[in-house]
Amino acid sequence: MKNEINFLPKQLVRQDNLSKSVKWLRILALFFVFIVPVVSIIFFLLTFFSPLTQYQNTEKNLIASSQGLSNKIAKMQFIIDRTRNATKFIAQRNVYDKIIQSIYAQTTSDVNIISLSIKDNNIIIQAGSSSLLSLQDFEANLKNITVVHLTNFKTTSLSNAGTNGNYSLNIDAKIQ
Amino acid sequence: MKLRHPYKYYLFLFKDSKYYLPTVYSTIIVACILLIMFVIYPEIQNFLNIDAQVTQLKTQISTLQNNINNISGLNDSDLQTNFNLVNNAVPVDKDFSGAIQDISSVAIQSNVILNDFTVKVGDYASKSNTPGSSSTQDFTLDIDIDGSPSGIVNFLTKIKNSLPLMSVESISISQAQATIALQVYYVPYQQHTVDLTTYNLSLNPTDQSTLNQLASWNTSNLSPLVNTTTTGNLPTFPSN
Repeated sequence: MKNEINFLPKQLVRQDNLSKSVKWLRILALFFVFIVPVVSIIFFLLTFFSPLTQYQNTEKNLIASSQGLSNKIAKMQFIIDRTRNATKFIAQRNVYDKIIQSIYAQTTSDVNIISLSIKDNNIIIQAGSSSLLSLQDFEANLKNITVVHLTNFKTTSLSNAGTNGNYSLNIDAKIQ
Repeated sequence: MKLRHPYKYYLFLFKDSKYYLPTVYSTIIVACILLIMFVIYPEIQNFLNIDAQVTQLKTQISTLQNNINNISGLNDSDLQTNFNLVNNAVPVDKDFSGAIQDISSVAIQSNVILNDFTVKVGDYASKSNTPGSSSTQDFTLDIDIDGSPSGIVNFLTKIKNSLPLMSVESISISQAQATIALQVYYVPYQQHTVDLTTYNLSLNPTDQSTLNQLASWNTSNLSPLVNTTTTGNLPTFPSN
C-alpha cells in the first residue's frame, strides 16, 4: 500500500502537535489545581473532626468505672483460667476404667485374668485357662473391643509350666 | 545599546515564545505532584491511622462495656461457689490431704479397701508440655487397694468423676489387688493484670459445660472421712 502524502509544511504539523500537547497540559494542570486543595481540605477536616479523642475519653471513663469491680474481675479471671485448665486435663487424662472393664468382660467361666497392667498406654495381660481353645477365643475377643482401639497385639508367651496343668497366656498390646 | 535588566528582556522573549504555556502548565503539574507526595499522602495516611485507631477503640470499648456488664450482673455467692469449685478441681498448690480424703471416700463408695499410699512429690519446675496458661505441676499418689475387678473398675470410674482432677499414670491388677499411680494436677496461682479492653471476661459454652461437669463431680457430694477443708491456700484478691 502506498504511503499517504502529507502536503502540509513540517513547521505547521509541529505547531499543531504542540498546541495539542498544551491543551492536554492545561487540562491536567487545571485538574491538579482543583483536586489537590479539595482533597487536602477534605482530609484535614476529616482528621480535625475525628471522634478519636471522644472515644479515648469514653474508654478512660469505663476503665475508671471498672476499678470498683476489681475483686469480682480477679475472681472471674481465676474461674476462667482454672476452668480452661480443667477442660484440658479432662481431655488429655487417662483413667482406663472402660478398657479394664472391657477386658474383664471378655473372660469366660474357664478363662481368668491372672494379672493386668497398664502404663503409658501399653497393656500387659496374663490370662489363665485349662483350655487352649478358650484362651484363643479370649485373645480373638480382645481384638474386637470397641471402647478403645487396641493395636500391636503380641502373644509374648504361652506355657503350662507351674500352673497346675493350666495354660498361661501373656499378651502385650497398645491403646491407641 | 546595553539593556539595564537583561533578564526582563529574556522574560519578555520567553513569554512570547511558544514554550511559555507548556512550561507554566508543567510547573503547575510538578508542583501539584510534589504537594500530593509530601502533603496530601501523609495527610491521608494520618487519617487512615486515626480511622484504624478509632475502629480499634470502638472494639475495645465494646469489649470493656460487655465485661463490665457481665461482671456487674454476676451474683457474689454464685461467683464464690464457682471459685471454690474450680479451686477444688485444680488447686493452687499440692493439696495432699484433699486428694487423699477424696480417694478414701471413693474407696469406701466403691467397696474396695485402701491399704497403703505413698506421695511422690514431682518436679517443681514447670512442664512445658502440660496444658494451661500458668505453669502446670503435679504430684503422684501411689495407692494399693484390695477389691474385686468390678470394685476396682468402679473405683477408677469414681476417681474420674471426682475432684481434684486426677489421672491414672499406671495400674497393675493382680488377683484381687491393684497398685495405682494417680497423678494429681495443680496450677500455682500467678496474679497478673487483665486488660479488660482485649480479654473477654466471660465463660464460653465449653467453659460452662466444664463448670457444670465439675459441679456434678464436686467432692461435697461424697461423704468425707475427716471433716477438714479440701482446698489449699486460696489466692488473695484485692477488696472492692
